[in-house]
Amino acid sequence: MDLFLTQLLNGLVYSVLLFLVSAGLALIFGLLGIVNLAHGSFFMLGGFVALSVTAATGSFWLAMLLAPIPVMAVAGLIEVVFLRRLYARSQLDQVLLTFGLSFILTDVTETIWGKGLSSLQEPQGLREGVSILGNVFPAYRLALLAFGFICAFAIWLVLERTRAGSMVRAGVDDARTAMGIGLNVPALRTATFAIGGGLAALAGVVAGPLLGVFSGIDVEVLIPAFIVVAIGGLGSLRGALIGSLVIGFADTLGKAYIPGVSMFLIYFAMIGILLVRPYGLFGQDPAGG
Amino acid sequence: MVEKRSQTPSATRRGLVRGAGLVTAGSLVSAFPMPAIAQVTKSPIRIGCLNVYNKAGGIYGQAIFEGLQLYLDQVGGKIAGRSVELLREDDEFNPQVALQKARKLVESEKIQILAGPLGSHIAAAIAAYMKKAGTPWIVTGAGSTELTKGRLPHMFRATFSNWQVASTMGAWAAANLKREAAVIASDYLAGHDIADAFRDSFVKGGGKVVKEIFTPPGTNDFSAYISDLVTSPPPMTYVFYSGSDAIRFVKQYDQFGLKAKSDLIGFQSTLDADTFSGQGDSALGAISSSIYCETLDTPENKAYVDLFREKKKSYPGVFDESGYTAMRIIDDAAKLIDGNVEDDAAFAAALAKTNIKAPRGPVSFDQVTHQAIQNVYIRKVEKVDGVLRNEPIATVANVGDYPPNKA
Amino acid sequence: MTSMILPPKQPAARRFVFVAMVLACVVLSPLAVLSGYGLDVITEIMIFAIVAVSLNLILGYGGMVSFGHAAFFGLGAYATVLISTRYDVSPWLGLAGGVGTATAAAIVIGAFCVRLGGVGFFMMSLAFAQLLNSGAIKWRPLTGGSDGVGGLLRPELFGFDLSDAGPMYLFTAAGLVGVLLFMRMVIASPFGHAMVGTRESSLRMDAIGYQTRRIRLAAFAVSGAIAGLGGALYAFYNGFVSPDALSFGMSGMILLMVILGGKGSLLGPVLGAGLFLSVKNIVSTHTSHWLLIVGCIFVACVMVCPDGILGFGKRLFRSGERR
Repeated sequence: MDLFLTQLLNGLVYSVLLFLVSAGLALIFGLLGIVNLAHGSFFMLGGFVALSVTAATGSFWLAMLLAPIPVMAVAGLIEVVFLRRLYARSQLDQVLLTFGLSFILTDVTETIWGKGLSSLQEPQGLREGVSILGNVFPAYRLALLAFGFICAFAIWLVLERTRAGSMVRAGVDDARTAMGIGLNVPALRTATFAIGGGLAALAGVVAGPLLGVFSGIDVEVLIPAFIVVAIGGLGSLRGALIGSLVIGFADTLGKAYIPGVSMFLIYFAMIGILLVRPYGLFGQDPAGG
Repeated sequence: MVEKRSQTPSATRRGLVRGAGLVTAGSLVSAFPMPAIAQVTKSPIRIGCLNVYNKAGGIYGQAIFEGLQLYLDQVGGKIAGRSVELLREDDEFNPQVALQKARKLVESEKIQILAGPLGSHIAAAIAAYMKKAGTPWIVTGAGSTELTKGRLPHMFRATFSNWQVASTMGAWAAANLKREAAVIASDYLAGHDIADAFRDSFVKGGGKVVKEIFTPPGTNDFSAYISDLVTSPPPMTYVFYSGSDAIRFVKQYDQFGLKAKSDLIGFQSTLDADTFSGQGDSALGAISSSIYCETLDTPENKAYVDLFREKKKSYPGVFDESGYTAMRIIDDAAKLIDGNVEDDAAFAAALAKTNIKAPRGPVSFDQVTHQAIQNVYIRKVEKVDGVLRNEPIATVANVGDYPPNKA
Repeated sequence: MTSMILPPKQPAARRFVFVAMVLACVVLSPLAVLSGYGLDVITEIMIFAIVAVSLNLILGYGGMVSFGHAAFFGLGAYATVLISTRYDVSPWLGLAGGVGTATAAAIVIGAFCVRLGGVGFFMMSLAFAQLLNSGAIKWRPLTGGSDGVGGLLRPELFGFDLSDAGPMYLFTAAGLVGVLLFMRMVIASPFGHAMVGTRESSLRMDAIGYQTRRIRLAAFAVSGAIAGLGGALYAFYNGFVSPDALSFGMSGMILLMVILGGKGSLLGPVLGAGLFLSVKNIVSTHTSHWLLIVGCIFVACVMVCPDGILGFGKRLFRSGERR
């Protein structure tokens, strides 16, 4: 396979990884208006829980299924105990709170699982490389690609085409009216935050075989996820997908062809896009909506 | 922090040694004013452990600290008859923080010895201050070749220098492996240090470096670099990464099928006991150079590994052993001067006389630069009873400091 | 602090003398009690207090939430170290250069940022700070890469060697007092009122003829200059700077100090810097669980005193008065 095509494929895989990390972040911001700095912690927790599950059962698939559940519980609890009282307050308070929570979650994670470096083993059957036009490409990365697009489609389907999705959207658009017509808005918010956290945990599991599982990965993934949602538009799922593609390709192709300036490339992209579209490619001016 | 003291036979033997120490001290009374002796025997020795304990680099800082502690526990918590306090300060891998914490340890906590740090940039940042302070300083992790060039009179590097480990590999690889290699390393001080040292000795041995790549620390995805190598694979690839980068690179190198085409060789931290759990079988068969190897067949190492494995399931890595041996060196030197570690100059002179058989092998110090002179081992990752570990395949004995540092 | 305790109506001159005396006592007392390391710790707190105060100008009064204020702090520090060591000139020129560089950068970056409001501003400021951070890491020949650059020696001032803890402490204290007085003046000025006006309603200010974008840009530049001064002092303090000074974490820390102490008040950020750094210094020495404790303090702070410690104190004070 042509080197350029390989690099495009690499860029696509990295984009999918970024999308999986940032989807939950975008969802939580879009539906609840919360800038969640603890999002990386959910990602990290997912990886560690999966580590324990695979150690006990040996099954990666089971880890994928089970790991998001305790993380969703933690996220739901955080929403009920803390965030619920903050919706009326400024976003700054939420920033401070979620930042503090990320410190706490890091400490808790280190206490339970230690500081060691680990990673997840790819599931059987996806460990080998697949030969594409003469070159080896890891099967796991191809599977990840497919999984990412399935996830994107599934989230979209739930939000746009199901009753639960329309309830969530209604609750977000106009909480008072939604309550007036009998929707349980507080429960909707808790569920949204929990699902956002669960998505981050799921990303932590599927990224495990590539990025590893260790304390500190929370900050490492938080910053790119932030850039993605800034470019795509805070709160827009479509934006998170497009933002992931922009950053994924800019980063990968930059590393491959202009390594000297690859680090700057994503920030130039970010500044350029914000100049033209201050709220991101698919973001909406909160003052207008 | 104070360790339990069980009445084991070794503790009793310690008591005897301590008695002997007091006798020697008594015979020297005329040389020292009395109050100093009285104070020396009572107050604990305070050792500042400046290192990174949290987040990414924390695993190594923790390993070093536990190594210091392990030796201390083994000798009953006392050195030259004095109890020991280990004061932990987290430098957060941030030179600014480190400088402040070093000042705190020396001026406010009144430490007699500083042990640390892991980061070469941290060591460089505190060097000027430590020179002024004059407190004896045992370097337990920072490997930058340049650090010993400054010849701080009270600084002793009880662990590896990047040059020592990487240049040994360059010469050995040129003679015993392939003649062409690509080099890929982390883009910071240590990465350039190691790449330079490897290239110089590899080229001198008749080898050729066909490609050099430096990647930003904390790179998530190496696929762009690896795909680049895959298209025209070099016969072997020399790699320097540590921590999470080491895990990601080695795994992704294997996932892209490059391992089958290009031999994976590297610096010790790339393929060490503490990275294997993350790398899994991707590390199998890779070759690295190091000042330590967990499967060395010596009585000193076997005793150490047994002791280590009483506490942990895994095997010790370079930094575990570095902490352990650093405390052994402190112990020996303190005994030489009857525990009077307050005398910075006398203690430094005693440290310079170090000549021990550590788990890693014989260790002494270069009298000019105070770099540890020690063996460098070429190791291969093998799987024994389902567990990955390094096996020594060659030994280069008594490797010293980078020659220009001494000139 | 003092103005809060004093009864409001007093002859201005007497009040001024009183404030000056209290201030002198507050500044001088650590010199008598502490030495060496203790003074260093307070010096560091005061440096960060200056930086937090600078952010508070745009955040608390101007309503601009910046997640990139480390850019100006770091630039000030880098320029000070680089000018003093690479060109072998007096560190005082370095300090001037540090403040100048930060100001110039604030004008350029501000021109991009102030066009945006809310989250857009937040993201844009983050992007520029990350860009500078990458630059410091990548441009090894100039900046020393991620290993940083050092070698700055503190100069003398009026015959006092700033490399001693005492003079450095006094110098920094003078800087902080100066910055606070300047801030007071700015806030009370028509410009300060206009700034608060743009925070409350940019549209209305536009309508009555203010050029809101210019006001915001001017505030941003002043804020950047003061942060640059903080960075330059930090360079004096440490003699060393690394990309950490320009990092995401540093921006976050400065932001937290302001929110913790209480935004939109003169002394809130000073308190925030003091509390944050004291807790971090004390707790991190005694337990490896300092992240847990710092995290709990943040959470407690948000839940219990939403308007910062200063606001919390004021509320306590007032409820006490009423009884």
